[in-house]
Amino acid sequence: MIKFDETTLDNGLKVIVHQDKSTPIVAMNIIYKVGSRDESPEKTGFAHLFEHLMFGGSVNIPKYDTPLQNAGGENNAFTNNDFTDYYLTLPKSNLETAFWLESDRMLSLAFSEKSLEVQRQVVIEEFKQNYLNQPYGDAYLLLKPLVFKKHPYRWNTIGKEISHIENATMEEVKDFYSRYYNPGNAILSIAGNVDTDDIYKLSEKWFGGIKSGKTHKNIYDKEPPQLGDRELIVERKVPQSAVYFAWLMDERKSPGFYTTDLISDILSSGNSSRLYNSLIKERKMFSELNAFVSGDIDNGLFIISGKLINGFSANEAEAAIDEQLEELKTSLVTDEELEKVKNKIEANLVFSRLSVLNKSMNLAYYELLEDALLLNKERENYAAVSKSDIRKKAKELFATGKKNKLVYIAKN
Amino acid sequence: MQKNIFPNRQIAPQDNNFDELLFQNPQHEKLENNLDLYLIEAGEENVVRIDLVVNAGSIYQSKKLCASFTNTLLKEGTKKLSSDRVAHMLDFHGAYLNTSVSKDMAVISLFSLTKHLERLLPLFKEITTEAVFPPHEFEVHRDRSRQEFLINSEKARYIANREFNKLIFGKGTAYGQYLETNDYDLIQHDDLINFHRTYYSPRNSYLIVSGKPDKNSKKLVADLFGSSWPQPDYISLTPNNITSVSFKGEMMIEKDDSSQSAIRMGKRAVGKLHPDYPKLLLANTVLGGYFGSRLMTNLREDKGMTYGIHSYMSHFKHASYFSIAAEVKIEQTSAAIAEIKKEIGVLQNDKISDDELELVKNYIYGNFLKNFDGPFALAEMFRSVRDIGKDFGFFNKNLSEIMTLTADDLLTTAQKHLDMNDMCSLVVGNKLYDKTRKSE
Repeated sequence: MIKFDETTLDNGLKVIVHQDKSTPIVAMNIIYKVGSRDESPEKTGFAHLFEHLMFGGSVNIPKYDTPLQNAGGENNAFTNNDFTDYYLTLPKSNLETAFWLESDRMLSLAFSEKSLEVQRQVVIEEFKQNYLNQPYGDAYLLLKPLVFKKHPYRWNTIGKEISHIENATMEEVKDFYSRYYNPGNAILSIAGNVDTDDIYKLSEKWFGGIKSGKTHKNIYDKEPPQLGDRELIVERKVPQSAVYFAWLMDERKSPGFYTTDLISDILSSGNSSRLYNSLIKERKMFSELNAFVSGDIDNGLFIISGKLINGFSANEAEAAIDEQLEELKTSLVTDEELEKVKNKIEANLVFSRLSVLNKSMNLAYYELLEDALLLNKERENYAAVSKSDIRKKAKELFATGKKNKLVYIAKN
Repeated sequence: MQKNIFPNRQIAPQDNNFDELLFQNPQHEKLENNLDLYLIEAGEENVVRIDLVVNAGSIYQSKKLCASFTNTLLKEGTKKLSSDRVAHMLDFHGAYLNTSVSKDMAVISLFSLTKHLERLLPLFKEITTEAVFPPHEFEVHRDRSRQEFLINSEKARYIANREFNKLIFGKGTAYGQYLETNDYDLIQHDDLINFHRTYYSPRNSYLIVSGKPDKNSKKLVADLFGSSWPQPDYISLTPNNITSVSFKGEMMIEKDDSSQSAIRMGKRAVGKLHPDYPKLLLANTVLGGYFGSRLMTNLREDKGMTYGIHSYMSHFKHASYFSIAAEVKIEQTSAAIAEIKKEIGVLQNDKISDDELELVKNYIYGNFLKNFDGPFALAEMFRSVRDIGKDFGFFNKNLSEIMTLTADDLLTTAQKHLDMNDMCSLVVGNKLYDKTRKSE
């Protein structure tokens, strides 16, 4: 259980406070409810590029980082399909500086041309470093458009292509800011040895005067049901062949999400899992093999990805994985196996509460989903899943005609 | 709620305050068999971490991969428990077992909920002391590691790190060891058994328990790793030939399909116990040790040449080095190197402003604090000082010294310790694409 208090300012900003007396640092986390799913198909990568620009100075503060570092603080940010998250930690004694900095960039940015020009270059280098200059780096650039035909999850957060980033203009930057960077579209969460009333007062003082603005609410095209398996085979100069299988899965908030997540754990969480035991250890077919869920808010992905030991073909790999999925569709898992994956979830929830930064992030994330209270219900949500739920979900998830396959053939 | 008074946004709302750092040292106990046991009771969650730290790093191995394979494969079966049984016990209790090997030390760590600890402790003990390294599990691990090595060998970053380490510590030395594909063919199952028997002994190890262990578990740890661990004593002997002379000058490794150049630059440096250590730590932070550093500001925030550039101090038991690392635009490789050299020159020749000096000191303070967030972080911080024979007092001493350093201290430190003539510089990339390269 994480205890917390919450309030909403008149301008719509949600404020969440968690007290942890055991640490001298405070964590502040702000989620803006905008991600790459909010981009237009011709201008992908924009939400992430914009995140970089949030560090290029705000209306009253020329450089975001300098005062924060002066206060002994550190910060970073990330963007994903659904939201953009800014977080910082600093000594508790300097907390008000964080309010000043974060509220100023919610109030207005400096919109510097130089910052836009430089960050375009920086993001292009990020693109190359993470997606191009390493083997299999482009896997998700290939996989996502294979699965998604309608929904904006079909492009990656970094962008569909470098030219989209190159072509971003200052006008678009300003427009994006006024559309999404408003108090009513944000969640502020603070964890540390703090007092709720003090935080409420500071929030009102620094954020209270910011106009609520008009946030654009997007409606996303629902991905239509898949009719028939799809595949993409590429040849690359990689050391070993690799396979990626993806299925469209339930939305984050639906009960089916929890069942599907447990299926991924049964398959590949820990060395006692099914895929590890049968395909890595016994048959020595893969050097790496993982099953996991993407965790997106809308219908996301269930993925199984593996790198093949030389000598095995992609077809053999697929048949072996299919066999494992068939097993889940036809036989019930054992009580012990289900208890094991649930125990692991329980432990992971406790481990996730060990740092104030993690706690502030989790509270903000669950508030984004619907309500921070959900964080404390996660254990029950997983506990409610039964053996027959798992079999039923496996039948539905892995039904014929729902598979997407990406294969890397190693080219010498 | 008090009505909003629009605040003055032009200046920071408060002076920065920094309380003195005080960290309570762990409780220390010497067990019957001389094993040092450190207890760090901290945090609010009912979790425990146990680290067994052994002098069994890669410098002690006579065959490459031996130290890391031994450490990783501890969990793959014991005299009494099969590999499957160990995996099931850990997973069923939601516990994690992490293993890691550096040049000097091998560490095996258990993360568990307090309520399951008593049940898992005997298993943890058995893994570390009674491992049998079954041949099948050995082969599976060897083949997987070989594949992982082959994938890494395609990454410019990995090639650069591997080559740079060799250049800094010298070829054929214990610290300069360098993996090649055929090392995966040479390593044998028996090598692991011998390495484990020799090095994983009580007098060669110490134990840290952190988090919130209950009374029974605390007693059980002392029993299992104390009186019930009467192995023949052995203390790892430091091998000869740990390092030799570093390479000085420039080196290029061609990688045709690169879309970026990986740059590594650096030299050997003084260790944590040297009187100049706090000064060098400050100099490193100014140059490339944080997001607002000069290298980051110049190469990323001003010129957009890279996604990130950092400088580091890396410390090992018998040697330390300073390094700069970045992946940069391939077309501007030479220009990037010139900028790096320029920044080192500025550090040696121009006095730092009071504002920047104060900012960096404040940053270092906050960063120290952050490193102590949570009970398990305390265990890691303790390990880093225990390995050099110190305790948490070491951090306080260094931090107070850093706070007193002046602009002149920084100049002399940069001149003394970051001499360009002593640097080794390495580029992995493709020089044909470098538009800023002068023709030879």
